Parts: sequence; C-alpha cells; structure tokens
Amino acid sequence: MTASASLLQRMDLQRSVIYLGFLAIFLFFAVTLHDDGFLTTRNLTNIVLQTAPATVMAIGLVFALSAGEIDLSFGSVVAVSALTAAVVLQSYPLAVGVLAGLGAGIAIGAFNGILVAYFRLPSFLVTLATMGLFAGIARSMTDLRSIPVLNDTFTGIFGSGDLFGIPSLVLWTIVAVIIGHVVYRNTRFGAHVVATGDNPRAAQVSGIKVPRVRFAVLTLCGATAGLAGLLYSGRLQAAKYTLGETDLMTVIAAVIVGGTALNGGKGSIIGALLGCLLMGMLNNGLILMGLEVSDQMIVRGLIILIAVAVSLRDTSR
Amino acid sequence: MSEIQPVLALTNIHKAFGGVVAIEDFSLDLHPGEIVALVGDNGAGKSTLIKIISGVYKPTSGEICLSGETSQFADASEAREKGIEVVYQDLALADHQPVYMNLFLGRELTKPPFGLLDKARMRRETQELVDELDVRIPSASSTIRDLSGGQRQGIAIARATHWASKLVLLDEPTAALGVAETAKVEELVLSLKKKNLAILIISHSLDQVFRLSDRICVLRRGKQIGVRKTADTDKNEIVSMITGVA
Repeated sequence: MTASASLLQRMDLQRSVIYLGFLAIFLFFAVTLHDDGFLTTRNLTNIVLQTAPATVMAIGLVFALSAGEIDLSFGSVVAVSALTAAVVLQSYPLAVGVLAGLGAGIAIGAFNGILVAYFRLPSFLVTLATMGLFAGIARSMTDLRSIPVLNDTFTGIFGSGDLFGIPSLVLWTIVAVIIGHVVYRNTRFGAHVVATGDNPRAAQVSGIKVPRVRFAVLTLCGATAGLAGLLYSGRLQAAKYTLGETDLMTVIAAVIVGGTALNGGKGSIIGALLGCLLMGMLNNGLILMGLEVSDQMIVRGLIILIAVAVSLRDTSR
Repeated sequence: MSEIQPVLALTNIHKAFGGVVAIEDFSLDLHPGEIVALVGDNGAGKSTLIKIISGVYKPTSGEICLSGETSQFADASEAREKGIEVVYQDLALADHQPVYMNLFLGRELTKPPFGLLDKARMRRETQELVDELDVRIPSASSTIRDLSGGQRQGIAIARATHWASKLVLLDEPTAALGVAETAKVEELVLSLKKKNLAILIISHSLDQVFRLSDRICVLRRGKQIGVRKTADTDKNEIVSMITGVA
C-alpha cells in the first residue's frame, strides 16, 4: 500500500493498544466487580491517588527511554529520597526537608547520568548497579526502621491535602503530566531527546549535544523518583526502605504499554499516564476480586508480557 | 578561474593519524556554482578529506580558506555555522521523526513567549522547500521510515541546501539507489549548482561523475594524483589515474 496508508494503520494500532486495553479492562472490572464497589467514586479516586507516584516516575522514564537510555534505579531512589526527607523533617522546617528529599533524587540521577554520558557506560548496567547500591544505602540509612513524618504541612502538600476540593496527589499528577507532555512534545529539549534515541549519530552531526541529553534524562529520572518518594511519604505519613521497591516493573510496563519504545526515538507522556492508570486499575481490580498476592503477580506478569510483545512487534516493522 | 574568489581553498593539506599518513599535500580550489568530483579507490582518503573540510578532523598541517578567510574549525558545528553542509552516506536522518523535524534537526524553530517549538512554521517551510526542489513526498509531516530510499536522500539533500550558504559535501549520494531515484538525485545536485553553491561530491560511479561534474580530482592512497576538467578528459584517463596502471 502507499506510505501514508501504512502510516495510518500503524498510528491506529499504536493508539488503540493503550486506549482499547484501558477500556477493555475498565469495562471488565466495571461489570464483574460492580457489586464489590469498583465503580464508586471513592474507589476510582483511590486508584488515581495510589497511582500518583508511579505516574510521576513514568514521566522521567519516558524521557530516558526516548533518549535510548534506561533507568532501573528509580525504585531505590524513591526510598532514599523519602527517607532523606523524613529524617531531615524531624529537625528542620518543611522547605529544607523537601529540598533534601528532591536533592537526593537529583544527585543520584546526576550520578547515573555522569557515568552514562561522560564515562560512556551503558545505562542498563550503571543503573542496575546503582539500583542495588542505593537499595542497600536505603536499608542502612535508618537500620531498616520506618521514620514517621509528622509535619502536617508536608503530609498535606504531598499526601492527604487538597486544593479547591481536588486531592493534592491528583493535582501533582495533573501538573506533572502537563509539564512533562509540553516539554516532551513542544520544546527543543524534547525534540533533542527523541532525536538522540532515534539516531544518536544523526543527532550528533546535527549539532545536538548528545552526552548532555543523556545526562539530562537520567538526572530527570532521579528528580521524578525523588518527587515520587515525597508523594509516598506524604501519603503514608512515614518513610521506609521498602517504598518504591515494587515499582520498577510496574512503571516500565506502564510506559511501554503507553506507546514508548524500549529502544528509543518514540514515546508518549499521555500514554504513560494511561499505562499507569491501567496498572493501578489492574492492582485494584485484582485485589477486589480477592486474588492471592501470588495470583496477582502472575496475572500482572502475563499482561506485561503481552504489552511488551505488542510493543516490540511494532518497532521491528 | 582566478578572477572569482574561490569558496573554498585547500592548500597543502596534510593529515596523519599517528604515523599513518591519510592525506599528503592536497590542494584544491572550489568555486561557486561548480561541481567537483572526488574519486579514488577505497581507502584513498576521500572520506578523510570530507571530514577535514567539515571540521570533524583537523589537518596536521596546511591551510583551509573559506571565502578568502583562513579558517580553523573547532568542530563540525562551527563548519556548519560558516555555511558548509554535509550529506552523509548514511543520511543522518532520525527515522521515527517527521520530515520537518529532520529538516530542522538541531536547529528547531521556536516562537515567543515560551520558546516552544514552532511546528506550523517548520512544516510550512519544509513544504515550500520540498516543493521548490521537487522532492516528492506525501507531506512534510510524513515519517522518514515511510519514505523510499530516493525520498530520504532527497530530504537529506534538501536539508543541506536549506542550511548551506557556501558549500555542500556529498558522500556517495546515490550508492544505495535505483536508476530512477539516482536520476532524480542527480537533478537535485544540479539544482544546487544553479543556486551558486560549490559542491564536492564523492562517487564511485564514473558515469555519474562525468554526467555531473565540472572537474574531477583523483586521490590514490592519500596522494593527490591530479585534477582534470571533465570536458578535457575521458574515463580511461581517470581510471588509470585511480588505479595507477597506465
């Protein structure tokens, strides 16, 4: 067929995967779990609230994957940031705690970024190593103890509070998605990120500072993971080394289901948001269905497998 | 020729990588509206020379003059700013991006007040350019990987034309193309000449060299064997210059 026809077909497939998947699972739960309260406003809001940290992390990851890099360490960064903020908040005011928590995330991201961009190490291996490194540091920071967060302003802003009746976690999600989307689609930085992942040599000969882009996306991943850590500790009013531990697979899967290519050059922030909501819905629904934790893991794993298969089949065309 | 100032004047260019001499004593003038073909066997130093002119490599010794000014490019971006564009053999296109983003790759247009991308203007200028050059693509928003080899080559050349103010370097622009697509690209190259750009083209096809060029410069193992006016020479002479067999 003509080039434009195949383009249309592909765009349809690309879009429909996430939208149709989202819709199908929503309808499935809406029907089967109607009596269990899946469709109540309270439950649906709950899904969004629980998904907020994952969505924020997903935004960083869309940038990293689009640039042809990956970050496996963001789960550990969440714990380090949350614990840093919690510990600092015990003796310092709000702003210091927030800056310390975010700063920890940015610093770890920048550390990954320097190793990848300027020491030319593969991000997969660097962040695989720092994932373990910072998981260990999170454990030793407070001797595995949970640190309570008693600063009401903090827990309000990053957790249970609201503005004009909109829960703060929903606001964080909306603001992060809008900023992420605009930067990704409508700025030179976003264009350079995508070009770098698409064809690094072309990007480089076109005058794009490829190492700087790589450094920036990994630092951004650290920053979004840091913010996610604040959101977790705000909502739970405590920080623990286990925060973010199980998010790695969920967030990567959500981002891929949302139409971001694993091998760079293509991505979607809105898709990542839908992917995260899909994962949240899945968690919620499977729990309401009364599945054992082990069965939940199996079902989630299978769905991620399908998502990856669809994603890779499309990019190899 | 001496009455017009050359766009590019290379004088006694010498390039060695460690102890290995890649280019020895190369001199060439390029004039506006002139197509010079660079020919030679594999490893003769053609690509090295292109990289020296485009600022990727610095010559070990010798002088590069751009419009009469002695130039030392710190890197490829600086050469680009001075009006030198390269069409690479692999085209250097980002395959998943639309045509207009490739045309403005690294030089994206933005609009006030927030400095966001001006996609409408990039799309419009791209459309104007491909129309002017008669590169037939479905639209400026088409994705590169949906285009044929000839269309992609057309985009790469259109990009060079759009940004070059002085000189376009073409590294085997038709190596991977069919007959009809090759003819189309050759037309494009000739249209650059009409725009008074200087063109240096590397090609392995002597037929093509004789169709397009005004002068032919032969390299063999880093040595400049000679420069001939295309009108005053024939294939036999060029082949023997390339191979060194009389």
